[in-house]
Amino acid sequence: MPSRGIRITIATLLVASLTFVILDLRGGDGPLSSARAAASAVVGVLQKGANALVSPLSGASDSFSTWRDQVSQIAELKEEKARLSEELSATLSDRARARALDELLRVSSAGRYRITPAEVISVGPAQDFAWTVGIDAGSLDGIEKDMTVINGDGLVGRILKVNPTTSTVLLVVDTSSSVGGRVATTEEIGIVSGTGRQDSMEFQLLDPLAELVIGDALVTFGSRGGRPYAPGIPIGEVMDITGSAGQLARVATIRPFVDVSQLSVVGVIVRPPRDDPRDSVLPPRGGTAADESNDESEVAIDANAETDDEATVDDGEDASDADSSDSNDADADSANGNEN
Amino acid sequence: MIIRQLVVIGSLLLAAVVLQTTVLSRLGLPGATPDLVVVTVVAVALALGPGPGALTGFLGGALLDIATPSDAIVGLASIVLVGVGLVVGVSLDRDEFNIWVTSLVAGAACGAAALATALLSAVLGSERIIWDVVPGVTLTTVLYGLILGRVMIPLVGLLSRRLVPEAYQD
Repeated sequence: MPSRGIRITIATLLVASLTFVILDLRGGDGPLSSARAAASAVVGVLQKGANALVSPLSGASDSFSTWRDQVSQIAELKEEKARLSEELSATLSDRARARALDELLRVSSAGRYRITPAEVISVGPAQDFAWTVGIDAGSLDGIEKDMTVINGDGLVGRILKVNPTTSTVLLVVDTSSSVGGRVATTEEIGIVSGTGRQDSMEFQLLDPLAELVIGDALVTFGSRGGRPYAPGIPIGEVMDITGSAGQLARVATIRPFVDVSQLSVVGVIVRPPRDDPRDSVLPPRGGTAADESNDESEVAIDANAETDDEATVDDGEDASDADSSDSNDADADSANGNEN
Repeated sequence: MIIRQLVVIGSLLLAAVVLQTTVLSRLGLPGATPDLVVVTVVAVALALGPGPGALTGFLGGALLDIATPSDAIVGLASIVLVGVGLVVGVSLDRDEFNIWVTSLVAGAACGAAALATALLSAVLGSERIIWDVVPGVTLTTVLYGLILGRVMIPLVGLLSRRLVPEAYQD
């Protein structure tokens, strides 16, 4: 039996822990938020340092390829590796980072999002079942709660907590995440919810009679003011549909475009675009991507022409889409209202 | 002596939390993330006894829950880890067992902590727990805990013998 002193210590520690639990469950900005800011400041600096040391060693440098050109990229990387074998691994990692930033810039210019780039510096443990990551940008960099986080492949998540120099991102695959989604090229909307597994999400159409095909791509519908989610960001594609048209429990399984286990450079959308970018941000594939006839999305159109000629299908509906998207905004807000 | 113990415990925990969130969680290992913080609590409880062990658990849990990437209920990990520090500190003596037995204890503590955290957060209303993944996560965390324990327990033992020799004069 432990001594009296130890028993008192244990009791004190347990009472303190329980106080934390109660304070946290009560919600709001209690004394915990200042403790959180202080702890995150100290730990954040160390995480940033550790991350800088580790990132050239980890497999992260292979992770920036988009799913469509992975094969060609592997060949390219092998060639590069042979040519640059004498160069330091740090150089390779810088290069990969530059490529990720290029991808991010492509997406943000296609959708005309104004972004603040950031790097993922920490990841929550798997046994918490929470899909959250820490990034090295905070309120000092203009980050606010509920801003959208993207990378070169599409939607990553949204800002959950903000500290002065770091923030926590809730990834789209987390069970507490739900996003208003729209089927690309159509007007069908629904809710994409995380399942807690990294490679699948669920999509529930609001209209049970709506047509949905395997391979359809989803983009975000967008909330009012672009928070928590800005419009037009690629989410994922339909892998499987359970239930037939007309059934209430008609759920589609979605594979996210973003590989959440391989995140490195991300962008926080600090200002959403004035107009919904529609489907212009989607990667070109099987003719699902539509191009837009404005100057700023030329980067995206070029990418389309390069990889897939079929992809440049003009959907010709942009003018009418822009009108109808306003009236749909109200619906989207009710769909997004469940998120918080 | 208490100040020196606190400094040793604090720096060990800071290192453990940073390593766990930046390196271990990004290795992409199957199942759980290697739980370096639990192993550190076990190692301190073995080296310095139940009081320091429980304190390490409390501080480590609080740091894990409050620092950046976490969205867990703050205080939950502290409750679990205070338990780990206490039980290990009371039931085991540092000189009694060989290193593999104590490493196994570290692994078991990781498994128990993972299960207890899942149960407690489910009770407190978290909807994140995927129960059919829990057995796999528990088994892998036991394995990773055993490996980490084999490294951390001698290391923490050495450090505390060097830096807090007073605790060994009995």
